[in-house]
Amino acid sequence: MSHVVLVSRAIGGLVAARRTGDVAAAHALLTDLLATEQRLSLRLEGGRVLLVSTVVYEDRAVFGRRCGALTIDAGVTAEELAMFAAALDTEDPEATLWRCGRSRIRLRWARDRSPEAVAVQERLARGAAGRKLDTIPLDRMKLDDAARRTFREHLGAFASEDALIAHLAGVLVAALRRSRDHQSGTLRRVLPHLHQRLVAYRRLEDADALAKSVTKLRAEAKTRLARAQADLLLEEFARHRSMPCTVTGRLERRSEGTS
Amino acid sequence: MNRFEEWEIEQGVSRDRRQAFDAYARAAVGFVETIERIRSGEDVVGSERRRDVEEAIRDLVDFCMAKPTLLLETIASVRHHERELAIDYAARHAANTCLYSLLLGAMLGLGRGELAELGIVALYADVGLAVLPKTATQRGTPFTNAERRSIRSLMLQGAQLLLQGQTPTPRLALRIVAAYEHHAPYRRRASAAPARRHPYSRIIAVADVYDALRAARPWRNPYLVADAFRAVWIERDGKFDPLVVEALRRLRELEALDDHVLANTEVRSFIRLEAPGACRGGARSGY
Repeated sequence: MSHVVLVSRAIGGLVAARRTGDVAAAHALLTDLLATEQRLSLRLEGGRVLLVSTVVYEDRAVFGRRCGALTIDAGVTAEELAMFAAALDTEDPEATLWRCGRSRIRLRWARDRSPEAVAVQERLARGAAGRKLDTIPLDRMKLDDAARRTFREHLGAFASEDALIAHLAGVLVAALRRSRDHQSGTLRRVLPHLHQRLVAYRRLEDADALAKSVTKLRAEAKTRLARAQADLLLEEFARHRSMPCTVTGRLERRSEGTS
Repeated sequence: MNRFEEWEIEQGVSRDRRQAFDAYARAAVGFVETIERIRSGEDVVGSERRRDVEEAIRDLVDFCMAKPTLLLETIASVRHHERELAIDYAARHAANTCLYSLLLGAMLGLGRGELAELGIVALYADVGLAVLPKTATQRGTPFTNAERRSIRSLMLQGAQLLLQGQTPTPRLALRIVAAYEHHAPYRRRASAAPARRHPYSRIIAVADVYDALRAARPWRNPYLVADAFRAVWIERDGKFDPLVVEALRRLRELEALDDHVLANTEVRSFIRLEAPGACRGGARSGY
């Protein structure tokens, strides 16, 4: 029996149980069904049904394997459950469920339940057990007030959105200067957006600095294509400067109507 | 109760510790999956795993505020069991950089929200690795100088990957800035004024290099705490922000225990305690 069919039958049993209200009988039925398969187990926790799949999915990263614990809340429809059953056989059931937007069915990955993974975690914990550090409260580890104040001031310089965007523009131009022409398409596409926002934020000095950097870039360009691209950027920058700002800080294109 | 939980109770291992390991693992998985998504040309920003990673980072921030030493223990445990754990070096390094950054940030007085932001930024700081083939990140021989130079351009490519043609939001801007800046020096020249770098980039720069030095690579042994710290210390106010290095000095006093334990465990059999070339030429990334 395939996993999907098995889960579908299990889910069918649950739906029937909800309809008749005889949860205990359905539970017994399902337990019989699942016991033969050795791949799913069922637990009732409070008002919820916990279906634990022992089907192991290969984890592409850390501990090698994992299995899923499914929590089905009351009121889940048969269609939703069927969708879940189908999702289980996809490569990434969790992601599929997210995409389906199922809020009443939650699949929590219970990692490290395979014997190998448990063994690894045991070794990890045993290693840690023998090397416990004294617990030191964070307050005792912090730097003194003056140092923290200085650092806070540095952070404050980047706190506003416009300051961060202006800094990003500088970083991207520096990146562009380091790049070879064929690598820089992404950066070139973003620069006009940044310049436009700088003008809209009225950070005109930063906008001019960006334009100056691109002018310098043009002077350093070794190919005709790079020079032409820099010219296009500069033309676009000049257009931004000639546009009026709306009250909300957006640029308004007179000719095209919208920014 | 599952087998591991039973074992935990038998051994008296705290639930906190297991939860810290779990959060670490989720962060590492998140990094690996992001890299895989980028390699296969999928959307990164819209990834469903993003929430899981953010949750893991929030858990780590909670530990950082309540029991900071637990994060150090987690790093140390992962490091001591790295052969059995089979976690790719890039993922381990990303998660360790994230944990060290959280600790340094907390010592510098960052709040919970800022730490959560810093954690995400630090985890993805080396996202440029996605442009390298797997064979390059898992190789067993050191890089040549030419390869090192080309790898340095990863910071540019990391910035491009994060952008993927979208208009940057402030949050994305922060990630791009850190991905680009964390390999750049604090001062361009000894006599020059400090370059304008985002404070998160300065924290990640120290965390990144310190962890790279502390890690064993196929071509070199791990640096001991004292040696790794000295390599960073001599570059303070040059390559690294002196405030962040000062925070690392305090952390180092705690981590020094690490070497003592290392010397008294079976791990010693395959790790020589002297790192060849330690401190010569100062700090540089493990890649």
